Amino acid sequence: MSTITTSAEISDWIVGRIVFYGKVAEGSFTVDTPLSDVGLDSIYALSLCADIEDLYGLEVEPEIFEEFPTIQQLADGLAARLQTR
Amino acid sequence: MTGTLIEMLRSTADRVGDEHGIRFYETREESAFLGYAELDRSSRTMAAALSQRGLVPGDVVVLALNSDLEFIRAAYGALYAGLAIAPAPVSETNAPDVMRARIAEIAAASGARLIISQEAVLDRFRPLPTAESFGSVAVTTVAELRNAGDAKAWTEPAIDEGALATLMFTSGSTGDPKGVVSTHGTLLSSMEALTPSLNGTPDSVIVGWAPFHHAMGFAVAVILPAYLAASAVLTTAVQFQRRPIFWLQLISRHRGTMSAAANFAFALCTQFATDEQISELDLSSLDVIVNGAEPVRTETMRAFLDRFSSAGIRESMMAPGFGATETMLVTMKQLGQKMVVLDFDATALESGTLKPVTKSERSVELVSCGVAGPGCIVAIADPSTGERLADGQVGEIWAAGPNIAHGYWRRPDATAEAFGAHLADDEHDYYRTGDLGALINGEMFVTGRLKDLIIVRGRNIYPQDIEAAAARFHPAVGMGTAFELTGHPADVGIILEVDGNETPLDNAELNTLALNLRSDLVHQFSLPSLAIGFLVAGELPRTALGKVRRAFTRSALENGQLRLVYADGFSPRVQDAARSVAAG
Repeated sequence: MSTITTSAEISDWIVGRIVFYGKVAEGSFTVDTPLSDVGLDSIYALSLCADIEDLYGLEVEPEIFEEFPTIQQLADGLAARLQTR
Repeated sequence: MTGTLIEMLRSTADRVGDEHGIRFYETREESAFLGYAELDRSSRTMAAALSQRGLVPGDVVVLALNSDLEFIRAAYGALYAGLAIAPAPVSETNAPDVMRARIAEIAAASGARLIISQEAVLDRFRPLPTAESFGSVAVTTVAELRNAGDAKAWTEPAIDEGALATLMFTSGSTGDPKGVVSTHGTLLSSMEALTPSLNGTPDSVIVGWAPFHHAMGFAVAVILPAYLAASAVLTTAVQFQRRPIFWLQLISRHRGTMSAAANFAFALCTQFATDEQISELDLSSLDVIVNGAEPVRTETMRAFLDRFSSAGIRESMMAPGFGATETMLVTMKQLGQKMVVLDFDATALESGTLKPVTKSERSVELVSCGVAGPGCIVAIADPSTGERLADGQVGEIWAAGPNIAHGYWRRPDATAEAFGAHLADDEHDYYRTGDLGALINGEMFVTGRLKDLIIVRGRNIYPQDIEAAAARFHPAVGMGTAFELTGHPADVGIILEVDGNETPLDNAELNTLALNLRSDLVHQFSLPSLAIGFLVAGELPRTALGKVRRAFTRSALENGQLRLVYADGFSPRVQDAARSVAAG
């Protein structure tokens, strides 16, 4: 990639996906809300994995949401991975 | 005479050899192909190995296999030895302890003599399981059986269409597993009943992804393709869940003519497909796409039709159907017809009558789940008196015919409750589905459920099980009621009483309890999500006899009549109400 993807960009994008999944309304959660509280159930967890794979080219499994249980933590984790690859 | 599944596959292999068969996509790019001649050969090999191990016709084997080609090899290998198969739901969960318990439970309940598994499943256990892991029932793998057997040593078992073929265990109450008994004749009759509505021929291309331990997945992937000598293109439920569009891409790529899924799958496709993805799809090859296994919603069907019409989806292809594990599909929209969608008077419906009216604010729209297939008989009966109800009257849906299962394995009590019901004016043995509906000119309109069964993504879950597991989890947790939710972030909700003598009723303590409880229940029951609400002990609605009232509690929740001291996972309205109760 030619540009560095920042954690802030990634977290904005995750917020957009969560709103798109449609289980919670925009503005009803923050980047520190646990992902399990924004409707990220077993299906949407797999969807988010696929979305991460498609956009950032990172292969991830749903276990990643145990390692990084909030949007902020997930964004930081993904940004770190993108930098080291 | 319907014959056996052995005769069916042998005749298919004779007719089409390896020209037709089953293509399985493990990932989006890689697929493997299993032709019918090869499947016939491998079935003879595996059957010979099973007979060598001392298994005899009538014995039961558990299939602890992913929903892949090895499952299909094992299923026919066992059937070729005259054995009955009991699939265990290993593809549904990755939690080894839950998977082990479920396999052991099905092995015990079925009286299985052997468990057939595969490396991919056994590797998920750490340490590797031993025979003791599954109540002393021996474990082997598909690979071992294929190596051990000799196709030439196989002799066809002396069985007929009355021989036991499958025991499909419903996700039934914990410690109370019910294996639905189907014979070779049952399965072949249900295929016969489906064929006209599906336009099934050897040229059919069947596309699917449902897990095989589920009745619909099993029928679509394991039986129907071989029955028709047709081609099948399959993938896993996980691939579908990651990218719902992949299902439609497979139909497009392989010129699929039929597919089937539960209602939620249509909703996910509509939600996730991008304009660019849709522009690359050509779904015009489809004859029929069945919507079954959970209640069919007209708005979902209509949204799917709108979203994918540019890709060639037509209303005539969309086929709502009704069935259960015990019956397979009993009604389905007839081939090439439009969907029958009617508006009914809401007040009349509440009192048990479907009265067609013009659309208004006081009407309810329902889509017909079609008409009974050839050989299938459906009736609407009063669930308390067992009397047949007239057209348009809502009652319990009863089904009869050669496609109906023979009962629950070794469970005469449960069998007598649900099977062998009689109407005064005919001689059929009816199965009571527990679903409510009405017939209008032969069209089946399903209106709800008699039982409080929770259906999540095509899977049946008994609320009693979730409630009992919650009460076992912590001494502070008491009576509870679980039910399906709509319009909340979670799909299933549970309202529980908490005992203030066992735990402080402050928010931090309740929050910890709820988080731990949710993780336990979600894990145990493979729930997609779970909302939890707590009430002070004694406040849960119950009947005069002290039983829980699920439907009542659910509407009390929606109407803001429950004084929840804690809530998590419900709609903002319920959450806010609970916060103000907690604040005091």
